[in-house]
Formats: sequence, C-alpha cells, structure tokens
Amino acid sequence: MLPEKPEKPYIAGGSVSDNQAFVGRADVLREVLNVLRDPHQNAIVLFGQRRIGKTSVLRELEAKLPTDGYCPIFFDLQDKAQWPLERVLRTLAKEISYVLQPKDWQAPDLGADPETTFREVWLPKMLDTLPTETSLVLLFDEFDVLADPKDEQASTTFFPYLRHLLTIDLQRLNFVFVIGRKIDELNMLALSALKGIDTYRVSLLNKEDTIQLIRLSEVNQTLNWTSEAIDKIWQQTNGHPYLTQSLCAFVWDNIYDQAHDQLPIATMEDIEMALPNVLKKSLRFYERVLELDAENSEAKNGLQTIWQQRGDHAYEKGDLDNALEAYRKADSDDKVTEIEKKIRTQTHLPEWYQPAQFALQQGDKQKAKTFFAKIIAIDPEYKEVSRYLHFAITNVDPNDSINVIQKLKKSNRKWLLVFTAMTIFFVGMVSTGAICFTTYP
Amino acid sequence: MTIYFMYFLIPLLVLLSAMFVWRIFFQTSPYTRQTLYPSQLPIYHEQLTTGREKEIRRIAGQILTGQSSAIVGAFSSDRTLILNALRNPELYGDKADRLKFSLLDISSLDINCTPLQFWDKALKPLPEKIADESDSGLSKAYQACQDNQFENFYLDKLFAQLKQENWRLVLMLDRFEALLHRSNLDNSEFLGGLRMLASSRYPSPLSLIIAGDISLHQFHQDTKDLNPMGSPYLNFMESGEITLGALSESEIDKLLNQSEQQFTDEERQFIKDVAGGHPHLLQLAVSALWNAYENEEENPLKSAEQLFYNRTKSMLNNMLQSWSANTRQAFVSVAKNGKVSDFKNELEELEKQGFVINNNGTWQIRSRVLSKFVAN
Repeated sequence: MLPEKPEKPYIAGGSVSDNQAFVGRADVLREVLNVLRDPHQNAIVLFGQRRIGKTSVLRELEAKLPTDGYCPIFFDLQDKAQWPLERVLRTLAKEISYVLQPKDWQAPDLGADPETTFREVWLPKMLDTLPTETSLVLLFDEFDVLADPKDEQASTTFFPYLRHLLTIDLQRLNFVFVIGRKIDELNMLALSALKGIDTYRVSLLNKEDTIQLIRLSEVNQTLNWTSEAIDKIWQQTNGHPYLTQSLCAFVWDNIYDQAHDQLPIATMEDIEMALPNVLKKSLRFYERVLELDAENSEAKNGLQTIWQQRGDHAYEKGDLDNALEAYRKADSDDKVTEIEKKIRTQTHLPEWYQPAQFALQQGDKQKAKTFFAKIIAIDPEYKEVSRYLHFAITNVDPNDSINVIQKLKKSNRKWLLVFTAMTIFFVGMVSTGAICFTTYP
Repeated sequence: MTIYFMYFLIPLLVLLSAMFVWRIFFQTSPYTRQTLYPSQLPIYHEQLTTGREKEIRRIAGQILTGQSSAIVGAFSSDRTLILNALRNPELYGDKADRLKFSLLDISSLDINCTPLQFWDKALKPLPEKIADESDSGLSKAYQACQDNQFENFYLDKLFAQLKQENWRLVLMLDRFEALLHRSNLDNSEFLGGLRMLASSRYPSPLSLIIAGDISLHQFHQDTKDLNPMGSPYLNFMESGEITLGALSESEIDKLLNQSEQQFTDEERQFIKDVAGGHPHLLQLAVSALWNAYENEEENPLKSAEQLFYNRTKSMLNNMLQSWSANTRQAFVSVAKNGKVSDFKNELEELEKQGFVINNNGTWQIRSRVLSKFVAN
C-alpha cells in the first residue's frame, strides 16, 4: 500500500546527515577519528569537488562523534568572507558558548581586544570547562572563502591568527577544515597556516554505497529498482553522490507524474528516458567544477564519460556532426578518425566519383585521373577507385578478368534494351491497330 | 411534382439559406460574440496553471521534504501563479499544518532594503504563529533575532528551533534577480547566510522557493565576483531548478477548452501561432482577439494580431534585453535564418524555455509575435 503523499527520499542539493540518506564515507570518518585520537595531531583538511558531500560529512561528524570524548561545533564561513577577524572571532565564540553553555545562554563578551581575549583568555577558559578526556572539535565549512587572493584583509589577519590557534592545545582543541579545491591551490598565507596538516580527499562513493543510495526509495517503500536499472545508474554516475541522487530523483519524479496504486518499479526504460536530461545537467555540473578546478581528475573523467556517451548516442542516430564533436571532447581518437572518414565518404567522395566515371566513359582521362586521385587521397578503399585510376593512367585494367571499358559499355546496353523493347511495343501496337482497321473498316 | 417541391426542394432551400445566414451573421459576426459573453475575459487568471500541474507537484514534493527549488521563466505572471498555487494545503496532505508560507516580491523591496528589513518581512508569518506563546523556545529565538538585527547567527538558531518543533518556513522570493540591484542584499554575508540557513540541515526548516527570469547558472555568473572561492550561493538548489517552457499542443487545447468562449478551429490555430505556448502570451492573445471582436473589426484575426503585437512589444523588448548577448544573437539568428551552429548551448536553453523549437534539425521560433518583433 502506497502512502497518501509519497515522499521522494533523494536529496540532491542540501547536506544530509544523521539520516538514512547519508551513506558511505566510512573512510573519511575513520581518517578524521584517527587524527582526533592522535596526541600529536589536531587538524585535518578535507577537500573535494563541489557537491561531493563535504558539508554532509561535517554535519555527520557533528551528529555522530562520540559525545563522551568530543564536543563538535559546526562553523560555516561562507557568509563571513569579508568580515574582519574580530567579527569572525566574536561569532565563533557565540557558537562555542551556545553549544557548551546552552542554559541561559548569553553572547560572550570579548571586550575591546577580541583577538587577544579570545586566544589567551576566553578559549582556554572554555576548554577548562570541558569534561576530562573531552576535546573541542571545530568543524570549519567553506574554509577556502577566506583564501581569496583579491581579499587580502581576511588572509593577512585570519591565517596567521589560525596558525597560532592551532598550537594552543593539541589535546583538547581539534580542527576539521573543509575546502572545495586542492590544498595547493590556496594562496600562500592559507598554505602556510595549514602547513603540515594531514589532508584527505572526499571522493566518489563505492559501488556498494551507491547501490544503498539508489535503494533509498525501497527503504521508504515508494519505488523499487530492477538490478539492470541500478547497474545503469552506477555506470552513468560512477558513484558521484550528487549525480546519483539527481538521476534517481529525476526518475522518481517521472514515475510519480502518473498516479500509482501499487509500488512502482523503475526499469532500464525509465533510466534511458531520464538520461538525456540528466546527462545535460551532469555535463554542466562537471564544466562548472572544471571552471574552478581545471585539473580536477574526477570531473575530467566524468566529463569524458558523458561526451563519450553523447557521441555514442548521436552516432547511433546517424548524427555524425554531433557525434564527431562529442568524440573530440571525449578525446576518443579512434572514433574521431572513424567518423571523419565516414563524413568525407558521405559528402565529397560521391560528388567526385560520378564525374570521374563519366569522364572515363567520355575518354577524358586527364579529368578522370584528377578526380580519382582526389578520392584516393582521402579513402583509397572507396569503391574501386584505385582500379579506375590505374586504368585512367595506364589504359590497362589491373583486374584482367574484367575489361573496364566493356563494363562501362554494359551499362549503356541496359538503355539499348529498354529502347528496343519500347520500339517493339510501339510497332506492335501500330500493327495491331492497322490490322484491326483493315479487317473491320 | 408539387410534392417534390413542397416536401423536398423548398425545405432544402430553406435549410441552405439558414446555413448561409448563420455562416454570414453568426459565425463571424462580432456583434454575436459580444452579445453572448459581454465584458469577460475568456480565460480566467486562475485557469492559467493548467499544464503546469507537473511542475507544481514537483516543487510541492521538494517543499514536503525540506528542499529548495528555483522557478525560471520569462513571464512573471506565469511564475507568480505557480507560487500562489503552491500555497494550496491540499498539496501537502497531513503535513500542511506544519508549513508556514511567506511570499516576498524582491522588486517591491526598497532599493536600499537591509537584511534586517528583508528578514522582518520574510518572517512575518512567525509572529502570527507565536503570538500566544510568548514563553516558547520559538518565541525567544524570534525575539533574539529581532534584538540582534536578524544576524545570521541568531537566524540560524531560530531555524534550528523551528526544526526542533517540526515547523518549516517556505520562503518564496519572487523576481529574485532584483536582488542583484539591492546593494545591501547583493553581498556575501546575506547570500552566504541564505545558503547556510536553507542548505546546511536536513530536512531543512527553511525551504527556499525562488522565482525569476534568470537561471541559477546566470545568477552564479553574476555573483561570481562576490564569491570567487566559495561554493556558488544557490548551487544546492540546482537539481530542483524548474524551467517554465511552452505548453504542449494538448495542454494549450485543454487551457482553451476551459474558456467560457468556445473557439473555432481557425481561432484556436491563430492563438497558438501568434502566441506560442506560454500561458501569459496565450492569455494576451485571447484577450486581443476578444477586443478585436468587441471593436467590431472587419478582419478580427488580423486586427487581433496587430493589437497583440502592440501590447506585447515593449515586454518582449525587455525580455530580449534581459538575455545575455549570446542568447540574443542566437535568437536573432534563428529568426533571420542565419548561422546557428555557434549557439548550441544558447539554443538548448531557449528551447527549454519554449521560445524556439527544433524541427528535424531546423531551428524555428515558436511564436509569430516574437518573429515579427525581431523582424521589425
């Protein structure tokens, strides 16, 4: 029995955490925990392309870090790119105190010199209020907004300050930074602040996790998937969580455009129907990733796969121009050569072949030679061009069993036959008429 | 012979004469149309969501699950109708009473509107809800927001409280692109805050539904300088972006069938040809045709087309001017049968928006009024 208002379980956009929609990432969580447990380290940088699920990882850490050892604080820097350091610190202090002292909460007072007070007085005091064996974990989202090379103010004040903050208390103060690009693409100040800190890439989901993500609609009993459909999605999205959720959401919406009284099943047909639209979206998505990160290998591979698929699709439909464009973008050299040859064959070669043959028939061997030579330069295997060229040059047919001229003349015989038949028919008709006229005047 | 005349020929002649008179005076007479349906627009405003049921259902699905959506369409009335339709509680079943809707037309905000003024208006439904619960957590969180100029930190706590109490604010921002012309809102603090509030929790207690005539991609291009290093502000709603294209032939017929006016096949075809498939243009075309009949024009279709053109040209001009130079060039190239091979992406976007159509590899403009506008 379907629910009255079936709900789509796919979240292609906002972050997911502490929820069944959050799948996989055991490797990332393990890596973070390793750093948190290490007495000699207290920070890690998580990096990955846009929409790969970095914020979800932070939110998951916020929700799932063991409460008896860690006190996580999520802090989003996206809206703070142009703030002066003191304002960032005042807001960070508010966030920390809101979590640590929620009862009768009041905004902390950092006084006239917030930078010194925060680092030397307020934060150590806060750390002292933590239960023993518990550490504060600051989860900084969108950390790279502060590394804008054009906005020196944030960089020149924030990063040196952060460098200092990192050393305050290795045991009780931990940091997880999230950035949307590779660490070596940050500006020098950001790089020096994060020098020596472990980095870990938030990457694509593995197949098992991707399947778990696809099957979310089976968990909330709104849509079942055939195993072929699941394989196709895996093949298309390669485990990219955003693209997987987008494709599943699109199929789910398409299926629920019709009313159902039984649990519907998504098949290969549904995926095929959704693909052109989703491929277009994915294409734009990867292009935008590459706009920010030209060397991003996941985006490059994703883009190549999509262009390859687009090329295959266009080739199947006989749309050679679009297929060629797509294969060029996919760097598929074999296919490009194949299609270029096909295009040449389809356009120029017949235009040259016919006049060449006509010239040969007329005895204009010079003209025939020119055309046959042009054809041979492009495609030596086109029809019997090498044989005719040979004949045009040497007057000898390389194929002894067939005389070229005779063959050409044979085609004229066809017309002779038609003409004869028509003459006989005409004469027959006239004769029959004459006989009838003379017999029955 | 007399019987033949009495019972066959004369009745036949009478019948033929009657048909002739009906054809001449009734079917094409402007007087009759006016007499039959005086001073009423043939298509009611509310009926214009016909053909948009799928879009409405999909956005409602996003709202139900705490996600955000963007509605992109060239005509503001089409977008506004959908925003209004989304307020129908029937779309949300038993969750309807946990949703609070707030609709803001950004272009109506003062050009110097501050985030404080914005949030004060956007959160209007909350004071109404918490009026009788002055001691509740929500009431306190709202009070803290008011006391602190609706700073993002306090807004975040307010939405956390909303989530805790299982409420969701559906904030609908119409003419969203107007934000780019309001300097106090077109900045990283406001836009980054909006992103953070709507996207960093799941299910989000803030479902953002924005409507405008530029795509999210265009919006991100326009705000790239504000945010060169961070995530594009609204990329979390890209998969929920819905472009309002042209209605299909059958949807247009369904829309016209709802009219009190029964259109002839010729009128029906005329409306489709001049207007294309956008409900707003269809309504204007029907209205122009109606006025042509009211004005007792000798050739109502021709006059209606001219009237329709005169009424829409300034709007079409504004629309074309709002497009990027490349999109405009692509559109003009299609209209003038020029070279279009360099505008693949632009044409795909225009096709999605329902302005051009690809007929077996040949691009064509869907509406005659647009072709005429470009030609002139």
